[in-house]
Amino acid sequence: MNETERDRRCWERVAGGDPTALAELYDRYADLLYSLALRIVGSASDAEEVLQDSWLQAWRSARSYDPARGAVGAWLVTIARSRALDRLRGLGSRRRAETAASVEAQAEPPPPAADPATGYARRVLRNDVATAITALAPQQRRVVEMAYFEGLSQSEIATQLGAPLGTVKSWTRQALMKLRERVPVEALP
Amino acid sequence: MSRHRDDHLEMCAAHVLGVLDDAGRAEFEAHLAEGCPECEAELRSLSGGALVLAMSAPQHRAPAAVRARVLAAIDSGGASGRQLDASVIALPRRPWVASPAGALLAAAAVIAVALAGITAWRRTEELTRELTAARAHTDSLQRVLDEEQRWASVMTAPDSRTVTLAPTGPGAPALAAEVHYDPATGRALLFAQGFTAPNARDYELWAITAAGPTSLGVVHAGPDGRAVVRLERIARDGAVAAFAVSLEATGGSPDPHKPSGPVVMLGKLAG
Repeated sequence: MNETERDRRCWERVAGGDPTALAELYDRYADLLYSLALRIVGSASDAEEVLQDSWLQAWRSARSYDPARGAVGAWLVTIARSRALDRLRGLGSRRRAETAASVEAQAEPPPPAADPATGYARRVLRNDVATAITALAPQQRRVVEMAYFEGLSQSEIATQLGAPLGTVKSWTRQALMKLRERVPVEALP
Repeated sequence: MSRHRDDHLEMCAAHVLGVLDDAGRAEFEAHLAEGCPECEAELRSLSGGALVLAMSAPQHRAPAAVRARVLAAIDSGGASGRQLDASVIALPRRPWVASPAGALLAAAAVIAVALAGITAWRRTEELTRELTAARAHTDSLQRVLDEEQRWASVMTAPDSRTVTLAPTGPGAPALAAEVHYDPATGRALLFAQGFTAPNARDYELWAITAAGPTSLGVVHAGPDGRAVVRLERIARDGAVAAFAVSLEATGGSPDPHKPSGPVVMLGKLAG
């Protein structure tokens, strides 16, 4: 049984109201979701609240998860990102600017990351991800990161970068395709 | 089906990142709703790219306290109800009724509480009625018990007298009767056997005082000839000296102070 299938069966138990199943998934994905939230909101306390809200939302809406629309891990990531962007928008523009600056300053954020993926396969995946990101053209990387981590629309990105909207759209799609091509789909959550 | 265009593929990318503006999202979702294999395949492919982005964030360990809080909130909310205990989540939250779905949930919760309240109220009413009925029944039984005790005291009272009536002639050898009489209360009990009267006849009981006989009524025995008769307010004219039974025409003697038929039993009070 691969990880996707294992997660799906675990989620069936969650949907059935089994808190221990949620705990299993938490242990598997909490670090990933927290790291994503921290990358978006920029502060540990905000990221902590996002993480908590995300799991409670997942628990409440467990029965609405449709396996046909993606893996459990991807669904959890979507929830956490959505909650984090909501929080980021709630912080206001001033704080957003500070957040962006502070994230830029976090080149090697202490404490050192305890990688949620402890196995060899996960270390390979992490390496693949890093390689795929750095392999992007700077503009491509910039547009997808502004969209994904800052929740900016393509029009806003175009304005900030001073680039034509059509070009931003094109960069965005090219970037996503390259990322997807460089990382094996079966390794993703 | 709306026709697939190349710019739909760019919309797929924006959709995966959740950054389509309102108009673009409405148009794209309408396109998807009509079914577009190209866009569906593109979405599946690009969503993997979005996950790679998620995993590219610098990795940190999630605070242990969050795990405990989440699981505590879930446990306190119950596994099936999925109602989370707000007291466990001591963090500022937006009102959860701010969304239409939240409002719907809130309305459903209000209705559920109201229905539970109505059910509880009806049950309370039902229990109240049952309790009232039970109390009435108990009161009724208590009255019966009091009455039985009142009559039992006729035999147990300190001044109670017992009179055994004896047949007065050879014509009524099967008759047997005993009267328990309490002069203090004027109540008496008659226990009779063999009181199956001949056709068109009734046995009638009499109390005899210094003023003469007074009818205590016709004795109606059961099919087995037995009878227990409760008598009240007897002997108002003075102390009872004797009890007697006469055999009368149906309905008893026309004169309440004088037997019209033969006296078949007699019992005198001692002393």
